[in-house]
Parts: sequence; structure tokens; C-alpha cells
Amino acid sequence: MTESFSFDADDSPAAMQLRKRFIMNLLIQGAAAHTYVTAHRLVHDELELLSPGITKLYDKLAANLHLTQWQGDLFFFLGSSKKFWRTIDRPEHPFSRQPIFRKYGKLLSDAARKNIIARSREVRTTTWPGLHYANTYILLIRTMMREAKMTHALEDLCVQATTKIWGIERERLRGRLTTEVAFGVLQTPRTRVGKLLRNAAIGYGGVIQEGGRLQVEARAWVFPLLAHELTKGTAELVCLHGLNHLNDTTYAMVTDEADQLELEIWMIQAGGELWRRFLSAIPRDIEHDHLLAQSLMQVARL
Amino acid sequence: MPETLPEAPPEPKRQEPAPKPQETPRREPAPKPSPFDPNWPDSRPLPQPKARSIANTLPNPDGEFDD
Repeated sequence: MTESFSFDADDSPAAMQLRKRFIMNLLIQGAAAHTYVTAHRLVHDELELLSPGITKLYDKLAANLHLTQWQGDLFFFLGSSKKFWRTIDRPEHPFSRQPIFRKYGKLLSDAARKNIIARSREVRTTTWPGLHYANTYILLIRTMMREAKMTHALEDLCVQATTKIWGIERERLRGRLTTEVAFGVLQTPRTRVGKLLRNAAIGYGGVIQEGGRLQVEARAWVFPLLAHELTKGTAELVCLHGLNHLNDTTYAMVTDEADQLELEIWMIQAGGELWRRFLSAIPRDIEHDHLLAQSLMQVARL
Repeated sequence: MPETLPEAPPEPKRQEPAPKPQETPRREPAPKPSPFDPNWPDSRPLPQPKARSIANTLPNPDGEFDD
């Protein structure tokens, strides 16, 4: 296969693959963002048996944590979200050569923000910038203290919820509640902000190879984040269908450029809404015949 | 006069059934690829795990700054 190994021309095969990977990352992060606000509802009864009232705590924590993608102290390190999307046409902007992001990035991010604010009000947790910030950490500490004595049972339930969503076998999933979240081979962040984000990671999700088989691995501090990471890993596993046919050079260039830690927050912002729209476009019976995974795989293979 | 039986009319020649057109062997539909089993080259590194960060107010016991 001959491919141009340059992103300089916007219509070169490598640039098209890069464009596709950006979109797939948007869907992967979006699926994960969507899951982590909702996954605990799928195992509501089991969670309540373990610890009455815990699902309400998760409702509030997930809403608060998700809103930190737009407000909170990330603002001081990454700058304003509005400015990021408003300046997307500048040549130095990381998405300036990605047409989907240029056209829809701001719209998707705004819609997701409105959605999570509405959700926060629904579950009665504050959205006021200062209060929200303090409340997020209070909820996080409360959750970790409450989960400390039942981590194994919670890990099992998290795997169960992911299986319900994706139809993937339980044996392919491994989720751990831990503060030791890093695993696998991680790129060195390119910027100081990237290093900060690496330092501040509270969850990782991805695919590992074990015993000749691809497995989903996820680690996170608390249950809603673990669900988020398990979905991220599962979606990544499905999206490998879009990367396995690339030659080694193109693959390395595409992932090096698109899979940067510094970009993940923007992917989460815009991806959640894209994922909601993706879900509304596929048949409703998502548990049948891996339909959700099949649909994502078809997009990945385009 | 002995009765003679009328000669039986000659049996109409049985027409051999037209040979059936040879069936082309049915192609089995290609098995659907499993979304969870992509054909991944062993020698190729997998994409790095994706992170979820929260800002730096709470120290992550495992994080390190390597400036």
C-alpha cells in the first residue's frame, strides 16, 4: 500500500486517516462521558442493596465531575472553553484542520454543557462556579470513603453494567477501583499542561494484550469513573477495526497526533453530545446482537 | 374368430426430464466480524490508554512531575 506520510495536504490519505481518528476519539470520549452519568442506573437495585442511597450520591458526583470539564480549576490551566471553540479557525489551533470540529465543535460543547447543567439541577446539585468546585471534592471524598469497604463488589457491578451496555463478555473486561490508575505505555505529554493533566489523572481506560487476546482494562478512583473508563476501553477496542489496516508508519503518525492527552478534555466536551446524537440515529434495541458495538464498528471501518 | 385384442397404442415416449440447470454452489455469507475481535497485528503497539483528569487540587499519590 502506498500512502503519503504527510498531513500537509488536507486530502492526503494520511490526513484523511487522521481526520477519522479525531472523530473516532470524539465518539469514544463521548460514549464514556454519556456512560458515566448514567451507568449506575443500570445496576441501581444491586447498588442500593450494597449501600442504600449510594445511587443518589453517584447521581450528584457524576453530574459535578462532568461539569468540571467546563468550569472549575481546569479553567486556569487550559483556559476558557468558549475561547477555545471560538478561536478554532486560527492556524495554531489543534483542530483548525478538522472540518467537523470547526463546524460543530462549539455547538456540540454548548449543547453538552446545557445538558449537564439541566442534569445537575434534576439531581439537585449546585452549578454555581465556586460552590460547584468545592462540592465536587466533598462528594468525591464522601464517595471514596463509602466505597472503601466494598470495592470488589462495586468492580463486579461496574463490569456488569458495561456488559449490559455493549454486549461484551465479562471475561474481556477488567475494572479496578484504585488510586494507582496508570497502566500501559503512555506517550510523554508535549506540554506542561499535559504533564499537569497526567499528574491529575483519576482514571484510565484502554486496551491491553494479554495471553494473545485483546482485553479492556480500566482503573479509576470511584464507581462512576470506572464505568466511564470501561466504556472508553470497550469503545477503543471496537474502534481498533479502523486502525488495523493502516501501515505501521501511518498508524504511528495518526495516533501520535490525535491521541494527545492535552486534547482529551475538548473531546469529552464535544463528544458527549455527538454520542447522544449517534445513539438517536441507531435502532433502539441496543442490547440485541451487539447492535451498539456493531454500529460503532461500521463507522470505524469506513 | 378368435377375438383379437386391439393393439395397444404405442406408449408415448417418455420424455426425459430436462436436466436441471446445475446449481451454483451457494456462497455462505461471510461471517460477521466480531466488534470485539479486531484483527490486530501482534507487533503493533496498541493506542495508549485514555485518561480522565481532574485538576490538581487533590494530590494524586501516584502522579509525578518530571520537568
